[in-house]
Amino acid sequence: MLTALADPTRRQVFELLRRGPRPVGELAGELPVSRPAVSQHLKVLKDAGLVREQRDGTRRLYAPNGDGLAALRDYVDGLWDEALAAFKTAAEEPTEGDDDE
Amino acid sequence: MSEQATEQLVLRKTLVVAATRERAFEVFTAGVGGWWPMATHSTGKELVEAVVIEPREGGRFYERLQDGTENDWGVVTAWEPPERFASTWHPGYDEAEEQNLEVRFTPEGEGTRVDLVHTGWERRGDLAERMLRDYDTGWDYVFGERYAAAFGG
Repeated sequence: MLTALADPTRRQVFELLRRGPRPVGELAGELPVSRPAVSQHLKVLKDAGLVREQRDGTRRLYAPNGDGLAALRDYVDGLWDEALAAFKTAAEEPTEGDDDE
Repeated sequence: MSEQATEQLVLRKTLVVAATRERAFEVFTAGVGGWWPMATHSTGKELVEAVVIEPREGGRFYERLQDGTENDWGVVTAWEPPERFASTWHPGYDEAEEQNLEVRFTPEGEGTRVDLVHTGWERRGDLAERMLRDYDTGWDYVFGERYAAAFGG
């Protein structure tokens, strides 16, 4: 799910949406990529649960999903998981004298 | 931001290691350079040659690059070996937007329970966005390549 934010353009799309819901055309106007490309990025973000779709009359708007924050939290959480797994391995290694640098 | 949203941003991690509390504390702090995944979890990535926590309150928590440049990650705010260690946390961004880390070491059975709490995200409403931008520098690789590879993404 979080790999959705690994792409710089997708992060830009996500950041723009955090300022307010908007339609795909408007997003494309603010980014150096084509409208179909923006649609594709939105689809990935939507599938990842970071962005949701809402209707405004006949317009289709995209907005950050409230759970997106939870996704970011999971992201940082994942970083700690990796770091702490490495710590555990180090702490459980047989002691050999002095560990200082 | 609502209280619920704030609570959502408090990260708690717990793990048990098969080591004495003294050893767990020492490896986590004095030995941080030996285990921290610095090539990925840092702002200088593969240029980082050391990660250091100075063993005292007020000590620095920083990364050192091969060319000698030192980038501060935070300042030690609690130094209570072998029980507790805390620091501010702002790797890659301004210290005015610092977060906080606290790590506690508690004997459990034959080993030690390590509780890590990462707080302070609520200090800036736009911190989540900043995280996205700033962690970029160092975390992109983990995220985009390692992480994705690990999950077949």
